[in-house]
Amino acid sequence: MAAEGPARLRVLIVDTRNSGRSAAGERMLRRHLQGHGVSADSIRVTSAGLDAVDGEPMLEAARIEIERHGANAAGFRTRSLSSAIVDAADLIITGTKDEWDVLASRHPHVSRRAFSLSELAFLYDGAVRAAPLAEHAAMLARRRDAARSIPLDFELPPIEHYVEHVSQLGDRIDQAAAWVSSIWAALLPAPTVAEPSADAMRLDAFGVRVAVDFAGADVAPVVAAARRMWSRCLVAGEDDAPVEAALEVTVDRDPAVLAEARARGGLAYDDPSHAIHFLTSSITVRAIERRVGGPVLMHAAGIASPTGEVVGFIAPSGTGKTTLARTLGAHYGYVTDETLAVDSGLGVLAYPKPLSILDRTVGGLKEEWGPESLDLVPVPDAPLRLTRLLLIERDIYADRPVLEELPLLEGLAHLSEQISYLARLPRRLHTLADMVEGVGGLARLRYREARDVIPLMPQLFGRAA
Amino acid sequence: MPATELPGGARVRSVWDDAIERDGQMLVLAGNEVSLLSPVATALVHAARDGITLDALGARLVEDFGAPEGRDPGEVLREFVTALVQRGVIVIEG
Repeated sequence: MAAEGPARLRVLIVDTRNSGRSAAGERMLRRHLQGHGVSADSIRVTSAGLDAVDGEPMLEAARIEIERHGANAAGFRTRSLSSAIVDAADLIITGTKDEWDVLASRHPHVSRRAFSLSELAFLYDGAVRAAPLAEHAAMLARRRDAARSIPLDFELPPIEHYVEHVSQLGDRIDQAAAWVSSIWAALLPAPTVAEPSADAMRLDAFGVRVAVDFAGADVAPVVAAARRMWSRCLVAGEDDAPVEAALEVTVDRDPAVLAEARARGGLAYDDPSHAIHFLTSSITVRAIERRVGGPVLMHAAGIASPTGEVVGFIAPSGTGKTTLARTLGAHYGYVTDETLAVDSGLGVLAYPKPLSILDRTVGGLKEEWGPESLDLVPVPDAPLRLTRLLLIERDIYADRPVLEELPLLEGLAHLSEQISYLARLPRRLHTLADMVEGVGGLARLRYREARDVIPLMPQLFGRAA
Repeated sequence: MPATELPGGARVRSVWDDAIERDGQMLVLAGNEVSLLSPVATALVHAARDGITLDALGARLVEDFGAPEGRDPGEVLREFVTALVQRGVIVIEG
């Protein structure tokens, strides 16, 4: 079955003349996406110039760099940037910060989905965001709002040293293209939905049945690790609930095997640590995609009392949710560290996925641990029900945890940034408002160390402290 | 043309997909962006619901809230409009 509808992500690369950086970016990004088996039907990459003359060839230096990095420079012609081209893009990448400024002044309504190349590389650095591709521009814009300092342009040798300048620029563009391609490829829904094998690992991700098949000569350690890490989400083999999302993960050192696997729509890696890292985000995003317009899906950790009351801790990625989930989960039920699913009756759907442990990295990637290995408390058998929602904030000056109730709109404004597919919820902002009012409002919890929150839990669950 | 340079006769219109109002403030969803609007911005987007010129919009806001202290009202208005255009809540017509 071919992917339906228009491209999932339309990327536009913009510079001044469309003959240098943007041309190179277009061709290098296309090459890396193609290497991951991503078709132009899924992610469409084009380029244009703010002050370009239509129909010119690219600069010779750009052509040389494109070909030096193994991409195809053939058939390129410059395009001038029109409003229609701008409006058709989901994500816009500018060559430099100056070009971003010009773009934002001419087309202010796209400034929050436009990023300079080095901003994009910085904002995506180090972590795969477990969010659907359609939400990446808004997510990156919020990361940009929150970041203290972002390198707005690449540091390069002065332009007087032209050869060195161009060559290093070519390398930086190629590196950025390679990294974002691997992220986007892992988060795309498979172009084909293959029938999972009888041996597939079957998981329950907040009620979505996900099947994962493994292949390749070097996949054995990944199979063992995945079954251990996902043990809390595994469903028994005789389970007859229909599979809603199927993935295939191939690990093999042979590039030909990887290419074949990617052509089938699978995820394929040459080393186990990348496979494990991307697998977690892929499973989460594919499960999210199957529940668009259903339960509220929050970027939040969830912790359950023995009788099923759940406290949700809301925060952007990389701000302490996992540490909090791990610390509190040693004493109370571990519901999830990242994606909390709440239905319209405030019922919580558990997703006890592996946790990305911040203080350990393997090959530059965060290490993933299963809740079983971390000895976290399982969720109770009782039905899970949301009882409290907190925005969390680390504060090194907080001698003890401080709870501060937030006015409804202010709370909703913060919460809405951490909701997947908000615009597709049945009653959008009103669905969120009902949920928040159903748990007595939103509060901000400021704390220094995750362990400081442990004594607060009985009170948060709604029992006598 | 940047919103900061729009002539007084230019028309703007507000657009949103969902909104909740409390105590003079408004939370709006426009596309994928959620914005919490101040009382002045809330009055602005209400006045621009069916399209309005910048001159008329500025006069309405000065009438409701008074002129901004020590600033050119037209300049302040254009700053508001620019921010709201970036958040997708205001579109420039024509």
